[in-house]
Amino acid sequence: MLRVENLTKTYRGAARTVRALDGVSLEVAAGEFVAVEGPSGCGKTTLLLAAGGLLRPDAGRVMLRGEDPYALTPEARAAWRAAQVGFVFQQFHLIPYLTVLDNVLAPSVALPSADGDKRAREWIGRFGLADRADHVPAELSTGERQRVALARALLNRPALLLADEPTGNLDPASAAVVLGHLAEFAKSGGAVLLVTHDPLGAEYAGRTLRMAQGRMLNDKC
Amino acid sequence: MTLWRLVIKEIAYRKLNFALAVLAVLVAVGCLVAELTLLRAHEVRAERQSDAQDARTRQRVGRLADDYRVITKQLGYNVLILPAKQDLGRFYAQGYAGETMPEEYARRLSESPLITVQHLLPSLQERIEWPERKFPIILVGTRGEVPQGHRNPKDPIQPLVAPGTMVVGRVVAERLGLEEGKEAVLFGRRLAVAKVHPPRGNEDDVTVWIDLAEAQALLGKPGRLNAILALSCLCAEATPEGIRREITTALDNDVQVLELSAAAATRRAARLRASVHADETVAAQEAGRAELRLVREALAAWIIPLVVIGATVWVGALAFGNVRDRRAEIGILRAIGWRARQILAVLLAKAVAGGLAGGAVGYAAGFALAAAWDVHEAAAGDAAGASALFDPGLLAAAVFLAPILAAAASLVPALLAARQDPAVVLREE
Ligand SMILES: Nc1ncnc2c1ncn2[C@@H]1O[C@H](COP(=O)(O)OP(=O)(O)O)[C@@H](O)[C@H]1O
Ligand SMILES: [Mg+2]
Repeated sequence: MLRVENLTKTYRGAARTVRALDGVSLEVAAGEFVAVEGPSGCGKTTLLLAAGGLLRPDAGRVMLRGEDPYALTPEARAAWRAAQVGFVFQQFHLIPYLTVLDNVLAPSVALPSADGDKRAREWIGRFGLADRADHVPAELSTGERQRVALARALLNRPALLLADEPTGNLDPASAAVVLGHLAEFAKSGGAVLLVTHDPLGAEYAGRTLRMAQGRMLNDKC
Repeated sequence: MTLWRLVIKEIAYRKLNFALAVLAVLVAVGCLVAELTLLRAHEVRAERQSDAQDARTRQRVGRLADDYRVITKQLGYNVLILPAKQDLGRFYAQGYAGETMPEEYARRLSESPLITVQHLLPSLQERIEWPERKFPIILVGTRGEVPQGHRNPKDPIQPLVAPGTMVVGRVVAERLGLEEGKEAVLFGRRLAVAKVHPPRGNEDDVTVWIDLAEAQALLGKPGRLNAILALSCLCAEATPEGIRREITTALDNDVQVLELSAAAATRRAARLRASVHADETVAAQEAGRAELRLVREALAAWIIPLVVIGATVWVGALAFGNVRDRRAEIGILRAIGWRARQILAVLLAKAVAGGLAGGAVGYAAGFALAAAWDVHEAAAGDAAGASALFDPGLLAAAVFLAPILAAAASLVPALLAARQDPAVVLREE
């Protein structure tokens, strides 16, 4: 499903140059939940953004279902993201003034569909947020917020779910719930790539890769 | 979820930012509308006043003509006495007689026992080029009445142009830079400008009146006249023919006599006397109004650009602040697949909404302000009135242009935000 080949990404700041990705390759099959574990600053977020069509690598290739997002124009790539990729971040990144329902429905603006509203309510119900549909994010617990973000990521039935430290701001119980939902999505046939420094992720993932200083450690995938 | 829903929710969420943008547009539109409406009020009132003035003037002239007819019946006839040799065709074409006659005729007429003349106004008139200034003028030498030998005039006509002075028409004054109190040299003679006439819209505007004797000297026609205006002439046989016959006879058949209509006589008398009518007050009023209008227009000329630029900068700065606050929000929307143009549409829609609200409320505020000011400024019952002030074009311009201006002011920040790289904010932890 997702194939990442030899990704290289170097940040050139004014003060220093950082090689955030140094020839990273990995593959995530449909129905697979892969966790990438590594210390802070090793390049996990960079890998995730590159895989999600948000950050063009300096070298290497990203292929999702045989398609290279970086071969597309920026607007076509945005449409590709809307259709193929779901994102979950540590900071949730919910829109503060939209209700739970509207937040979950935000991707439907990028990819309109007739049954968006129905599916949004389904996800909200499945994640135990039915009575929260009309609340704004500030009225929710962090665990609930991350479940809203997850529902939003899943609305357009993406092929790939990318999660960047989704449990970083959660208590262990909420973290477990979120990781459980990720595993469930994989079980339903989706590909999940989780990057985290939290060892708890490994317990839910089918496969765990280790990363350090922009490289994969157990470079056999 | 639609773009519009997001726009409206965001406006409700960041009320202050939106309110300040609306306020900027409101102030700008309000100022402009108030300013333009006041100018309109001014125009409406001026028009009404000048209409009223016209009506009054016409009425007065009508009354005057009536009076004159009556007076003519009672007091005699108005005639213009020209040299016998004068060709009348040329006289009418030229506006004055080219031929001359002795000044002494005026005295003889006044002393004639057979004719009584209430007012006797001798003059010498010529179209010349002011030699020192190379400017064509009509030079009129005039003097007061010739005293009647055997009676005292009841309503004397004052000599208006004293020796050593001149009275000039407006065009002459403007072209030659003459002002009351200044001096000018005419045919080598230094004359003080006693008076500058307000514009009259006829040949008076290019006329210079001076003392008769001086005119005779300057024109090289000492002791000569080219016309005598005789008003209220009476004789034993009170008919036009009788008057004509008596005058011609008294002056050795060396003159011809034209009977003037009341209006023509009035005009001619007025011109010769260089008198100033109530028209001057009208002119002064109009000048005052024109001046006020000029001040307002000048004010508008710098207020309008200032206000527009100020509001544009203000709205632009608010838009910058707004997109900076929304970096994370815009980043995530881009990440989940919103197109750059959808972000742009959201940001510009907000600007347009602010412009529309500011434009509409600003129009209402500006209009109300101007209408109130108009009532305050106008004399009782003289206000232009709201219905006369309402200009649908201005309303349309306000609600149409304000959103465009607001969108234009927000365009740069909106474009920057739409092009913002979502990876940058998403990488931040
Ligand atoms: N814009 C940037 N400019 C320079 N260095 C950066 C930039 N973004 C990230 N980095 C550096 O790249 C490395 C990898 O960052 P990141 O992918 O965020 O790591 P992780 O998510 O594993 O913490 C870090 O050393 C980080 O400091
Ligand atoms: Mg990271």
